[in-house]
Amino acid sequence: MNVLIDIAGTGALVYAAVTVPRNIRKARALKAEEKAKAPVTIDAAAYGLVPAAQLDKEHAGPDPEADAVAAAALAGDWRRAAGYLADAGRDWDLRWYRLGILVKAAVKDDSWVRAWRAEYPGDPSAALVHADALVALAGEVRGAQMAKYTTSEQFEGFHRLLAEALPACREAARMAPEDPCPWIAQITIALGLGWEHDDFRALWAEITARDPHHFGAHVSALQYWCAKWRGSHELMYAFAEQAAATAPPGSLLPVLRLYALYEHAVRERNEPVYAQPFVEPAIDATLDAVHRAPAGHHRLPLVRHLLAKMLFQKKRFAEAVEQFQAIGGYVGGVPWTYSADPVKAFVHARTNTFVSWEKAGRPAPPPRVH
Amino acid sequence: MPPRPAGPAAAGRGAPGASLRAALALGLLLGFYLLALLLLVTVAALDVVLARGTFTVVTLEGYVGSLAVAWCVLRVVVLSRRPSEGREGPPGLSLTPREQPELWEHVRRLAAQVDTRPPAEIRIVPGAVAMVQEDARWLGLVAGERRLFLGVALLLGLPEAELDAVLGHELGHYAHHDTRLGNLVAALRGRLAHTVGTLKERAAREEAEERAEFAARAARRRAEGRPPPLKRGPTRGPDHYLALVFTAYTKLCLRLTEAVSRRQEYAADLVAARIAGPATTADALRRIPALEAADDLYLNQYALMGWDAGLLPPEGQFYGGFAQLLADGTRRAQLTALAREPLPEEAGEDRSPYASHPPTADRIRALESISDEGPAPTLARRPATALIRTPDRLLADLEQATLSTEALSRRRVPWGELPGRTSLETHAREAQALLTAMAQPTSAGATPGVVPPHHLPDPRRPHLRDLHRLLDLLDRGLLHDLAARLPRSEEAARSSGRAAREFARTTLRSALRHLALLAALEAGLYRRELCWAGPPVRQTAPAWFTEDLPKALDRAVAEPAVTTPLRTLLRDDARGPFDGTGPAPRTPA
Repeated sequence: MNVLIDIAGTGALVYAAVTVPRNIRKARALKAEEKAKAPVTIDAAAYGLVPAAQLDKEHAGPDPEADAVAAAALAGDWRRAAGYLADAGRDWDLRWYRLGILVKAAVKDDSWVRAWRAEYPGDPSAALVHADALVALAGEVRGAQMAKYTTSEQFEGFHRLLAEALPACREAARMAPEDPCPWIAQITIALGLGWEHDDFRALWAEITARDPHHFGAHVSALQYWCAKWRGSHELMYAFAEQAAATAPPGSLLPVLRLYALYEHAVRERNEPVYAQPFVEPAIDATLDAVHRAPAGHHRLPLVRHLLAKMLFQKKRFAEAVEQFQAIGGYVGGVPWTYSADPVKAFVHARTNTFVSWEKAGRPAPPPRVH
Repeated sequence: MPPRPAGPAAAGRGAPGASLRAALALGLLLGFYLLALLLLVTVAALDVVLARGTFTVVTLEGYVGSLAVAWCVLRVVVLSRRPSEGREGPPGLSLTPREQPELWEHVRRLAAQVDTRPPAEIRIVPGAVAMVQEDARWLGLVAGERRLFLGVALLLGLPEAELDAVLGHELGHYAHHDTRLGNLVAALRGRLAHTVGTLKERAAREEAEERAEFAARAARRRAEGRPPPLKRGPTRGPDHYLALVFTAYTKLCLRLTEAVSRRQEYAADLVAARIAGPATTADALRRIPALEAADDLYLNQYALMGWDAGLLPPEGQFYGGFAQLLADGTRRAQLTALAREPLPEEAGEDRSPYASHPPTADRIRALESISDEGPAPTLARRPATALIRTPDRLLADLEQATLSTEALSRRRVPWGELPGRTSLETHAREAQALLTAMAQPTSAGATPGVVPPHHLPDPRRPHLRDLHRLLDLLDRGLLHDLAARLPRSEEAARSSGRAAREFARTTLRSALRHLALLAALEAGLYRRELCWAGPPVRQTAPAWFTEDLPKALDRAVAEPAVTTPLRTLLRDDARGPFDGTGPAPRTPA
């Protein structure tokens, strides 16, 4: 009997000898794993940055005038809105930008647009706001989810509004033959209704005939040539390259390559998209364009968001720090808006940029050679 | 015993003798209990070894452990007896010899040819199946009552000669005493499946409990601010290991008994060939899968067409309509083509050792290899229903015997009206919320706009009247008041401002469309007709109606509402007879 007890005792000892060290090892590995997962944090205020809780999710950058105009419009003052749009003059991209501000307000409530159109039925600007607001409203009804997460009810409203928007855009174009904006508004309709390439090229010809280097039109058209809409990676890159290469000096269009790059990266998450050879030169060209652009240019914030992300991705932390500092407390731009939690995506990139920059001894960005 | 899809043939492979097969099945069943006993004895033997030493804590632990194992074995093998198996067979309609003398006479004659005792019960069941059962006692050693189950789809769809092949095959199973053994084999399989199932279920439950406990412990430690406990691989209880042992034994039993079952099929096919001829038997083998597919399609697309609307085809036609489908020329051609398609070949490696029937292709090859010594295929292809007296009565009685009370209480509608009535009911249900919303008093804030006096429709057309009442409300600008009373989707509830108004418009347009289609159905402008050639429903409506309806709906839900086009489209006085053949009505200028 004692033999049995001895055997059992030895067994228990051997078992303990094997399992105790193994469990200790496992516990250590687990702890290390937890530590690696723990979020890195920095003291935003110490770097003069806006803390995560105070970031503005709506806008890409500050524009107090736009906010005031939108608020006035919603309060019923359409005259200020009309003046704001008219002040853009023949700077068609500025007009398109300001139109976007007004359309955002008109999607919330269009009573001021109706009042405006009632008083001046022949005003091309009023017709334009009405038409583009229909396009934006269609997008709002559809929601930003992929088709498989979009209900038939959402699609029905989307298609009904787009069908209403198209004649409205054409009417606005007829009233202002020189203005590319009523045509640019149709790019989104082409996306939603899945226009054929030939039809889209015809639309594009109308736009470039009126303004060949329109920033907003290019950003919008790039979407059409994306794989997720009607194009492919190749068509998208070709479009971006052509636009960037032929842009006049001072244009911000070189950033189009980065837009294309980001669309590619989002779609092919497991591919080394950022390792492509053209990425560094594309970032440099965009940096040059940003340096040349006048301070306060209405498109600078948009460009900086994408630039900051790309610089972070390529571990050019000193330059990324510059961009993040210039961006300030705004998150409402690509690439962050593609994320389910834009603030989280932004803070992750920003924090890691500053941590790495700190580790490297706060280097100064390399001088730019123009 | 598993249902035997009817089937006949074979050669070369003789079935092992009945006694040999009985011994095998019996041995395997005993083996199962032996296996359990062996496990208990092993545990007991270990206990004895323990008891021979001095009594210590370890001895006590050993006893407790062995008791636990023994408990598991006893519990699954003896205590948790399987609920008594349904040996009753599928529900159906039992036919007495007085009701159907011809069919009984026929079966008895075939039984005499096969030289076996005829069944005591013939039961008609739904579907395209045929099977036999025997309530043998004493593990199949004593003969019992025999039952023949015959699918109604076979009765309606097979020529008489091919039905003979099916019956011959099934009677062949009786002749070889397959049915008596069936009980034994079924008992064995049931026992094993139940045991393994219970063991696995208990093992899974144990594991889940352990995981839950681990999660609770982790949560507790987290709450106390300590690191989570170490993850360990789940510990397996005795149930898991017992399940492994019994699964292995089950696999062995299935392999042995199914191989026997397959050989029985070849033998029964041979009997069928002797009765109906090999060519006819092969034809039947090919036709049955096609009939099965057709019956499936018939039930889902025709018999159940009005199910959601609470409607059924006329009495006796729930199963009987299958004959109408088979009578259709297009369908018949499809069926013939389907029956001629080459059968899927199963490569030797893909062949499951557990399948109860050999591949049909093999069975047909076996049939073709025997010389045609049976009766020559009869040229006159009498349908099998010729054996049935008052088939309509039989089909009606079969419904009573197999459909639920709930199903039987549904309204019966003639075939020709079924699609139209179904769609009336469906559209009416979809429009119901809107009609309810209309019945509520409208808010005082509504502006009674200038509504032109509209022509009031014929009181005999209630749906059109409803539509006009709704359009009057839309004319008064009450779209959003009405929409607010309709149920909203999750997306719509989340939206605000103009987007919310657009969602409301979509909802209202959809309900309005249902109401407009109701009115059109009511007027006979839009028809839905039954089509046996398929697709089951053919819709007809004048082109101007289908083209103009979407636009008219859009304008009716626009702001401000323009309801004239929709009113004109469904005007009840413009076209004389409401057959939709007239020209498109024009909107009055």
